[in-house]
Amino acid sequence: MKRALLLLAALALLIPAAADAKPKKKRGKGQTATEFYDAARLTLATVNFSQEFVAGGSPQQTTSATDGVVISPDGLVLISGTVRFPQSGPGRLRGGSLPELSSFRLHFSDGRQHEAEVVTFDTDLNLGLLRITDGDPEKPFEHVSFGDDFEPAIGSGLRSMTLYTQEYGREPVYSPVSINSLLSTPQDVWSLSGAGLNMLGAPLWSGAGKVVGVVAQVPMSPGGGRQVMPQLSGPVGLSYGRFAEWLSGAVEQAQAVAEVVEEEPEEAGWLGIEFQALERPLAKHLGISEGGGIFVTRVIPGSPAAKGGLEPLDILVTFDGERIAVNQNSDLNKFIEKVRAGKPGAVVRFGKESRGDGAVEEVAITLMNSPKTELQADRREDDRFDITVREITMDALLGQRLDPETAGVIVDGVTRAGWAGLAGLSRGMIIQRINEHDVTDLDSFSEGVDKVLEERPDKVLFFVRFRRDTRFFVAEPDWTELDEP
Amino acid sequence: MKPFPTCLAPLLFGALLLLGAPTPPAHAADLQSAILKVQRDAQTALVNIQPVTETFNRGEKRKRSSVGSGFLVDYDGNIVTNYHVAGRAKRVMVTLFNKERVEAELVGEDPSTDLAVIRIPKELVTEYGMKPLSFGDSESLEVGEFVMALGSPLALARTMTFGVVSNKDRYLPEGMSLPTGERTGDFNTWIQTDAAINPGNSGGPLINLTGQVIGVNARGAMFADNIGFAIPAATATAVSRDLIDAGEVKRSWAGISFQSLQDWEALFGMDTKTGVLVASVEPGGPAQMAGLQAGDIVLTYGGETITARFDEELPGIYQLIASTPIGAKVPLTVLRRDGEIDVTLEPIETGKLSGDEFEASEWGFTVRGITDQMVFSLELESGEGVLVEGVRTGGPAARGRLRRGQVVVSIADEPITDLAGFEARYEELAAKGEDILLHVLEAERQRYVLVRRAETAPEGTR
Repeated sequence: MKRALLLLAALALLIPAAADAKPKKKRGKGQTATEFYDAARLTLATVNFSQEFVAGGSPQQTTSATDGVVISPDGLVLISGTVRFPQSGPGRLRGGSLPELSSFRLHFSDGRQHEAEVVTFDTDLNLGLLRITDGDPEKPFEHVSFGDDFEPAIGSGLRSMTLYTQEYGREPVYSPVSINSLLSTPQDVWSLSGAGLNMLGAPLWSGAGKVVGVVAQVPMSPGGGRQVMPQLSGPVGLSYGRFAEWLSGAVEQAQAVAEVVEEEPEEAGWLGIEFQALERPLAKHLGISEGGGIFVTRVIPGSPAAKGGLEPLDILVTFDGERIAVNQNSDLNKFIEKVRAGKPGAVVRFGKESRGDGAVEEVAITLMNSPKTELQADRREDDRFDITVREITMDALLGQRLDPETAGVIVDGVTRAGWAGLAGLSRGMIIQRINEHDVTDLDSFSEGVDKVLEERPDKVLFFVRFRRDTRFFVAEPDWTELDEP
Repeated sequence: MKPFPTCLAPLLFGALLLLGAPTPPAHAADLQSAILKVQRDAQTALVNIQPVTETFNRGEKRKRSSVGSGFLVDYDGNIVTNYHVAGRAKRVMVTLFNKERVEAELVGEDPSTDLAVIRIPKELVTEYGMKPLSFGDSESLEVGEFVMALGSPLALARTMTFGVVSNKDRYLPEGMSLPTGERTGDFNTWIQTDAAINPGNSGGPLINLTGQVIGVNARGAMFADNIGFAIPAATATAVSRDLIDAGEVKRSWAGISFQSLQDWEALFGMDTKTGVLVASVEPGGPAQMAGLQAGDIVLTYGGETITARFDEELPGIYQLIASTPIGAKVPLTVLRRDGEIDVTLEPIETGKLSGDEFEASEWGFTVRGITDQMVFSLELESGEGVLVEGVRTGGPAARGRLRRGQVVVSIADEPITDLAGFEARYEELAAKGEDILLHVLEAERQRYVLVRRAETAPEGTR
């Protein structure tokens, strides 16, 4: 029974649309404060982390804490992204000084502790999603579920919970709060009474026990830009409706990453397409025979699929004579596994069905070996510039929408206070030149670094690409450091 | 300082202006009377603006009301304010100094500088004895000059705050965008002041002790006390003149971004300290067509030497390009690794930063027309189709997994080229209540999205 409930909750999370589809306002029978307390306390954790940033030209490191709430059985955690705000006015105005966050540690009120890593942050919403990395797959996490059937009104009562600090044993604190204003700018944000700044990141529960918002500190927008704007003093409630779309995308992202992490084989069949499940209503509308299939959303140039003549929007219904029984995206794994199990060089046959007339055409494709992913990429570290770079992989090129011929190395990690970090280099940027030396791969990167180490110029120029933009960054190395014993 | 006869005041202010900074009052009492005089002279020009705008970002059209400030600049009833206050407004109500509420019309808007002009009937200006404010010279400002901000912070109308010019050419980095998504602030540096600026001050004047407008208050810094920013009068004067005369500001665009030169001089072995570094050229844009590359240093533009050694000088370079007559062929001298070369740049008209919006309410999403600038800024393949601006939670399009940012290129197998085409197709099909097949693009991906009108059981239950 409990499993079923967990599953339902997870579904509700993934398909935020589901709740709204029912036109009638659904009112739960309501929880007492004690019931709420017992149910909510295990979902809540204090999140400790360290942050590095540059303020006034010098690197700084601090440790900090916020509230987080577990939102899925596999340990995804929603936190207030307020932590990601730059730490000083000038730093903020200069841009590029968002803190690098690391070493996330979650402390639950029952003494459990877990490590976590960042999935994503959204600087507009000031929210972030973490993933617990040391959970036990056999023990699903207690977690909250979201609801957007809550209709906010002035005076609506909500429940919130936060944890006392370590000194007070991390005991949960129950706080009733109420909505005292429904803001139109920004939309779907409530001003709250009863919420303090110590509650940033804490969820807001409706009387029915659903999370309908979080306590956040949201920039007011009448001042204009994203970077510089006036602030509404004190915390506000950010409604679930406001961040539901972001959250479902973030959860998908987390799951995609989880899948990639699990695969490690040396050799795997590769088609070079992206695709989506052929859901029943769509199949029916397109006049495709019943039984499932996939539709191709993208064909990677030069890939086996491209050579075999596949195109976006092609609908594949059979694979080596067998029906592709994929009716929803959660069925896709079966199809992916079957492709990956194919040997590079093997010929596979797909049945491509045309819309309406049921005609099926056979397409033969010769599989290739799966290209290296970001995780499998070779890396190189330089401890003088305090930078790690990796080779450019196809997933990175696709992610940044770059030409397949793009040369260079990708910044994989950089120490904020190191020479490269102070120059402004950060993760994901593609280094294409160091001073006059062209960087095309890991070896030419090392040659470029060796050359400047030999010449010791006052300034080292990095020419960098990110997506379609290019920019120059200047490092000013303190060469005397190299002469120290 | 004795009160001036009003008819002499403008002349005398003009004379002061030529001398640079205003003469400081000798005593605190003089300062007090100067402030009072500014307040008395300026108060009839100050207005409180209550626009009703429409937003489309959640997949449905919603009305939004806000409060901002503005000030009368002539006897024709023209009022200068911010674009983020009155731009795209459906209706603008204005409360005048005497608390009379009147409706204003939108004269023109310019998101690139975040300025707009609205107009009230000029008969009212005469009837109520309103006195327009005049712009001063923001170029000759000095840090430390006393200034007053007038406006409606937090909707508290007719509020005056007082401070000094904290910095006169503050550079705020590129890439700032307005809540409506348009990029802004590339063409000017900012006047920073510690006169308190809060939400609602936007569009109000920043006035010096001689009663002249030296800036238009537009921004405040978050997590800070008394760090506010105003658009300099030099920018506001030029933009408001264009808006009043022509209803729009036309600019040229070259598809280029620059960096300041300071750090590069040594590397390039330059012995002069002029020029500006090309950081990036937009693929397919005029700069790339002209053969410019990242790493080039532009030494002259149309025969004139240009220089940006420091970031603060960059807005001037962007403004220079923007003010190039549309269609002009501009000769450039460029320093490249292997020597100087000459190129000819042909900037094109910038056009609208973003397109109009439309709500497909029956289908549960909103769209925006695609302009040439959006093709560049959103890295779209072409200007064909319409951009999905928002998807209503739980609506028919959400059931088919339509996402914000996708581009709709066909509806029920008929291609859609622009917003008008989308609207026509929507009007034709919406009333039928049938499921609708959309063909959408998302970066290099193509998808089908089925807008599901019919209530169907959730997946997996049948």
